[in-house]
Amino acid sequence: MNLEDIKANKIFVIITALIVLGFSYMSFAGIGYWQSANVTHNAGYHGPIPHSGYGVRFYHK
Amino acid sequence: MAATVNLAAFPFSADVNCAHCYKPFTVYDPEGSEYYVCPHCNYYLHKSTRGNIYTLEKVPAPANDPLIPIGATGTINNIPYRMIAYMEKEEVGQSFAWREYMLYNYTKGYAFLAEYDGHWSLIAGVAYYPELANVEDSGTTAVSDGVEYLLFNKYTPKITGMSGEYDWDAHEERITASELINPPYILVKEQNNRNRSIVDYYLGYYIEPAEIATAFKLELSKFPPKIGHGANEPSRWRQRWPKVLTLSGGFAILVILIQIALIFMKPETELMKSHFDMEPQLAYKPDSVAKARAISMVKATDSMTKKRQFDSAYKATIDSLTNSSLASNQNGNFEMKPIRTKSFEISNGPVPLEFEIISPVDNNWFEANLELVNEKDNQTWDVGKEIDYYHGYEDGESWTDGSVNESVLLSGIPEGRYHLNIYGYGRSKFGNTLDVTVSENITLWRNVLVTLLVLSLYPLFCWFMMRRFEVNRWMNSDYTPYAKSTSEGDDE
Repeated sequence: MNLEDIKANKIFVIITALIVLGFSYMSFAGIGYWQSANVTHNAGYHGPIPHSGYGVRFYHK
Repeated sequence: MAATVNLAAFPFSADVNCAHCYKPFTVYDPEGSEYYVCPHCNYYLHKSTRGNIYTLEKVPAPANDPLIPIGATGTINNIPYRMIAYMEKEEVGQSFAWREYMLYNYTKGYAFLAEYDGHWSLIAGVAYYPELANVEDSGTTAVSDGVEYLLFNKYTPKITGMSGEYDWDAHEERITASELINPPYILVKEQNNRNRSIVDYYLGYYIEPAEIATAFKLELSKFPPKIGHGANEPSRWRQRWPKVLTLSGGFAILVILIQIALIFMKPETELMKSHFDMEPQLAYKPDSVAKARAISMVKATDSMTKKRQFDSAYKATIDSLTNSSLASNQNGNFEMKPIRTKSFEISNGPVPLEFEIISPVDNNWFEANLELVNEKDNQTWDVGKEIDYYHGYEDGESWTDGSVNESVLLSGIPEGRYHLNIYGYGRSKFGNTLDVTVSENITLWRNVLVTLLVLSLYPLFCWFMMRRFEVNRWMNSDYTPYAKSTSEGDDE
């Protein structure tokens, strides 16, 4: 493998390098290709922190 | 490989007269050639040692005009050639037919351009390749100059049309030919049928029609189209495969090194670990109800008696009310009191976050709905997990099903202060406990695996195409190393 081989396969090299870059970005950003199933993300709202929604306060151990 | 042909390399062409039709024709190697085919009457002529020309017999004319005209000159690989003879051949007992163009170089002698189904090979003998003097031949394989060749085809050729000049009696020659390949090379073994001890080897390599067209200044469009795969046609997938494999392997190692570096740079850290006794949720407050009932049951007027009557009535109702206040749905399952964990800090986000939850259920289940709450902006991440663990003994064998622990993975959680709200749900009213551990910077091995899988896709594709090419190539051979039952389609 030498520079000529890399030049001859430059499209493959570029795509592969992008894949590795993507992997690096995701790893450093703590992003998984997937997380546990059925996770619901609520983007949040401003105001007081809600209680449980069950009509009771949270019990803090 | 186009180059200007030095005509001084062919200094001795001469005209001779046919011994049959007496018409003149040009001989390009008058000193070396001993047999001619008259281009006018197609009689096969022999030149004696004294220089006299005799008629031997009429030979079949080629069915087609040679693509490279007799007398044409061209240079391939810096070797100047003149085309001096053309033969059309077929395999005895078979319908396979091919064409051979005999090229002459003044210093090196003959070389051949062989064409079959549009695939061309430039083949030459020991004068061009001295290593052919030391071929190790075992029949189905042969080794020349350290290169191993595999037997691809074995046949007896027959001339069906010929023209030009020869330095041997080509028309009467009877040989058995074996072709052994190591693409793009082909090793041709010719064994004389009249004297089996005479064996000659020739080495050829696959040559593109464009190179021949350029060398002999021909129109490429007149060349026959390629059909299927040539015996020694190089597979571009085979050429690509080792480079792609090396490149992908290098990138795969890089991915693993990045992951190892990440493990050191952002180590896995435990943010919170807590144990919770999960208590059942109450549908109403038994204390208030018991008090109300006790008050209604008090009849006395003096305070001491009222107090006694109240305490007695309260004690009589509180236990039954407490039991009946435990909430259960119609399936008999119990909802637990929600729990809010202590807060924890993610200081270097975003990070992958893992919750490990353990509930020591025994032939039972417990479900926990976890809600991660960002205490600054109220972003939440909700996920439910059921822990179930069953075991038993049946038909002489122990069995288990499920596990007492589960884990939840969240990715890309930004930095901030968080807590967990836990909503439990269980089959048992009492005795449910939950251990929760929250860790950040979990190693995302799935990221590594997915990336390695993606990196392997193209090498795998190359390998598949390479193998498909080889299978198709060897379908034309009786000596295929691949199973004959394999029937894969043509790929290119």
